Amino acid sequence: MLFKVALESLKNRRSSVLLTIFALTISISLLLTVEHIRQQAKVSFTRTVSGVDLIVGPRTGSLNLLLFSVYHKGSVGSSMEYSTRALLSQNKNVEWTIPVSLGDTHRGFTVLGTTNDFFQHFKYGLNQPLQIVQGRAFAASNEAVLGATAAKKLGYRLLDGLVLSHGLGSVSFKQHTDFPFKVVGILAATGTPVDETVHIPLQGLAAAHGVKNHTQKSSFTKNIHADKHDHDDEHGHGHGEYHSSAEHQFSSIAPNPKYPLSQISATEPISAIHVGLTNPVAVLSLQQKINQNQEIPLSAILPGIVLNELWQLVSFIEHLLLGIAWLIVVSSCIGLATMLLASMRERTKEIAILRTLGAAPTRIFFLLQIEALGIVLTAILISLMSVTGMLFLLQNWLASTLGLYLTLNLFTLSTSLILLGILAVTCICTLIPAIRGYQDALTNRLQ
Amino acid sequence: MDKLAAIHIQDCHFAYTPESPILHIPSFIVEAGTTVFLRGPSGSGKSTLLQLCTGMLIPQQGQISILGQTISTLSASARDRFRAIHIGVVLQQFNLIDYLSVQDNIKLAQHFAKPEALDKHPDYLDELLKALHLSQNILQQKANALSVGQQQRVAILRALINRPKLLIVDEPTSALDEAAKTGFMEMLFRLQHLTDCTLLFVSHDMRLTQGFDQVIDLADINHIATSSMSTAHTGITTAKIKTAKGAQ
Repeated sequence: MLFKVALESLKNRRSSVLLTIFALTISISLLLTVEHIRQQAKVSFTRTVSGVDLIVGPRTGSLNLLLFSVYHKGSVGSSMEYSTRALLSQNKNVEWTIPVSLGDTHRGFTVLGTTNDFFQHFKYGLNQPLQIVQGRAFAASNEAVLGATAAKKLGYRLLDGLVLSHGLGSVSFKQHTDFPFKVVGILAATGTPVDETVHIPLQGLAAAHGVKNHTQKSSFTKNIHADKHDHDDEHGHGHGEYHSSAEHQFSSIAPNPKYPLSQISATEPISAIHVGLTNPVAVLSLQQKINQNQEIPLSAILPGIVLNELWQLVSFIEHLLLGIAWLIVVSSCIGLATMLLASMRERTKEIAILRTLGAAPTRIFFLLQIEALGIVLTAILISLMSVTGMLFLLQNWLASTLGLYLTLNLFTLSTSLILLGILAVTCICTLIPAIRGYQDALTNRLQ
Repeated sequence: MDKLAAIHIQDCHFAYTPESPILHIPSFIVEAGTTVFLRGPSGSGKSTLLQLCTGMLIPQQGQISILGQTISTLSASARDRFRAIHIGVVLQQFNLIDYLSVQDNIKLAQHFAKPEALDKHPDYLDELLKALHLSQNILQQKANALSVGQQQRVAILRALINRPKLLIVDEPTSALDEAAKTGFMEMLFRLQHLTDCTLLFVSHDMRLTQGFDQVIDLADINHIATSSMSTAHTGITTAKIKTAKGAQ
């Protein structure tokens, strides 16, 4: 019965109640969005690398090395020689190594020079391996394997051609047009920077650079010309125009023997090496050994620990945002309490009637609490629906522009706790009008 | 008759602030089953007395018994329950919650009296409706859609729905025209007879005294009103004006 009275009473004060619900909905939606993105950002941030015990790079700050080698952000500046890889592999605890070389782009997408070890050993999320959903890994030096997003956004299919641009950034004037690559594989989406990356063999990267810098130039250009004759329609035009050549996908997937995956030169510069160990316990001693190496200036980092450090830095902003969102929710709850308090003046009569009928003052107290909770619960429901709807609409945009991979499920433990927190804040804020109602009820006169 | 008094007030003192006492009633008794007209102009402490009788206020001194229960010593919540179950109240105006239907207003009264006063007679509501010349379909209407006269009659219905032993009515006719007043009083007496409750009717309008077992002036029982701040307790005015019950 009390619920019915509360409901009818709220209906009776429709306009102010609706406005209050509107204000609450905005603030609760904001809080839910901030919290959801915060959680998801943390997840998508920390799931980028997994199963890699050490990242070894030229001597630099640990954050710098992590950002560069995993997120492809910033720059290390110097590079190290490929021979370091062999040096590391000599250690009995090292199970595998993945060399990575960064610095080039293709139409704004990072180009990562590596070996097939990358597809074999690199893990993300909860130790999930990479998966090539279309095509295969490298078998020739002029081949490229695309991340899911890169393939989708560039509109590339298997056997499409691409050329590298020197330097990071989407606009580059220096193009390595003399050594084009051919898409031979496309990876499954991972929700990590891998999706936005064009992977090419180290040999190919060296060749692309070498064409310009070294004496090998003539032989490579000759090869390319030969290749052009083989695939006449592939090289004269823009990149998006080869979709119709379906027959190529099956007939020409074989590696071009003119570009073998030759031995990589020991002096070839690389950016970092991902290291996997047979015995994870050895990680600290190996790290120390590398960091203290007098001959080659190297840095070794434990990605998990540096990721945490990095997140600590970001979490300041994250907490700030969350704090602001909470303040907005609290202020809306105070607005709700103000609305209820203002209504008390016109409700003295109503309270007098309830008292006369034998309602204890505590009932009046609960009536006001029920009304407030009803308003807030309505706002919470609307917020959940609108935030889910909004995420649904923005999902793709967030993934492609910010690299944020969000799930639509808002019901996590911490969101539930936040919703409970909102209800608690409501009850506390409503104490003011509820106690006022209680006192009115106590001192109320029959008039 | 050895019946318990419906209202029994003994040496009752009440003041909102110690400097200005409102009531000092040495003795006031309303016999069970009788109809009493209490004359009290506004400002005479009439509302305060009614709140004392319904247990919404308790005296600083003295004892108030309603239907044999000393309510001045009950806990606050016990007094609220007692009022919900045993006392029906009709006020001058603002008896009904505007935004609820007539039916919900009635249900609300039943709700607070649960579970003791669950309606065991489904016909009782119909009986009341008929006696008050109200149609069935008024139940679905919102209270603020009714005329003043209808509102007052619904207020009576609601006050009686839990079959209270005591019905307190405060200036119920002040908003009604002359013709409606007569009709209203007739209905009130008929219902009092039907439900066999004690009726305490408070008004300043002496033209309505006809038909009551007793007519009492508040000024006669309230010591403060009569002797203006006197502290003397002697010379108590007659608190009871005996009239033969059959003389109406």
